[in-house]
Amino acid sequence: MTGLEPEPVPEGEVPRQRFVPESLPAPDGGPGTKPNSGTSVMRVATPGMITLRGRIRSEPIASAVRKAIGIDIPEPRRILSVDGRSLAWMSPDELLILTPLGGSGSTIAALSSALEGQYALLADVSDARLCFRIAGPSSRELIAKGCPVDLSPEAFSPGDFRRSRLGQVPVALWMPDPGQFMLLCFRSVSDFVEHWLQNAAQGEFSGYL
Amino acid sequence: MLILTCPCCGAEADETELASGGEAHIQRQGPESTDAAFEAYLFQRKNPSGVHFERWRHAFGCGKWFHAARCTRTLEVFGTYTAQSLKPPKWILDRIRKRRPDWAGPLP
Ligand SMILES: [Zn+2]
Repeated sequence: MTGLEPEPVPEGEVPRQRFVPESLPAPDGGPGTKPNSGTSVMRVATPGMITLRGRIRSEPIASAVRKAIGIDIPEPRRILSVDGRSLAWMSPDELLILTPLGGSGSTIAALSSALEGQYALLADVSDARLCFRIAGPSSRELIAKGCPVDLSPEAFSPGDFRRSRLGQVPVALWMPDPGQFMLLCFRSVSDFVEHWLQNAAQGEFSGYL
Repeated sequence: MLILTCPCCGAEADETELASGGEAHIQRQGPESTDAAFEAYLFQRKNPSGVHFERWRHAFGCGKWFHAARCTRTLEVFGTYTAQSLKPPKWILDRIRKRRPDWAGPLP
């Protein structure tokens, strides 16, 4: 016994099948659609992540953040990156700081000493979320299949940061460069999101919205 | 499809990104209120066919609550405004009256 044998199915019941994206039929194309042309979905090494909550636009907090990590507070729904670290606007009172892998500890130390005496909350949330990279010519269309955001190049481009949903789970999106998206989702739904993206990458594409 | 611009983050949010919070500007009734007033506070809603004021939350986005004024019949959106409003602001009412000159309330 390895513990991996399927459970016996009681008589009269249909066995539950695990969803396997690879078993889906290949796309045959159709009017107004184009086949997948090399758009890839990759789980990437999770960056260090820190949540900062407080009056993020107030001068004491903005200057503390600038002093600690050298980045200005981004405008709403924007992300700023300097030297491998990024600062993303999550909500009117929340920032997400992305650091290189394993770099959250030193960044949190620098931030907490800079924020000394300020009313703010810092938390290392590196384990809360996972990160996917979607790259290739149809990456906008791939994400648009399950996300109600206008992803046309006029509406969404590098520097934008958007929290929304993919399928029925919350995600955050940004574009580190014009050819690719980064997508953050909660770790607890990351298998679902990965299957969802792989499934979407196999099908045909029909537009951004 | 209903699209509301979240006044907290500026995103044009599809209704599937939002959670509805029902009718707006309902005044809370405390223990000193009459039974009739408390019943109205708990259960009675306007449910108009036309201009309506609602609470929404940008649940999949910035997470914040806000107010929206819209037409329940046509889905026309007159505007969204901050959750920290006890009444619809004048600019919202002006915009509604411009689009619906015969609108007679009731005001929330
Ligand atoms: Zn919002």
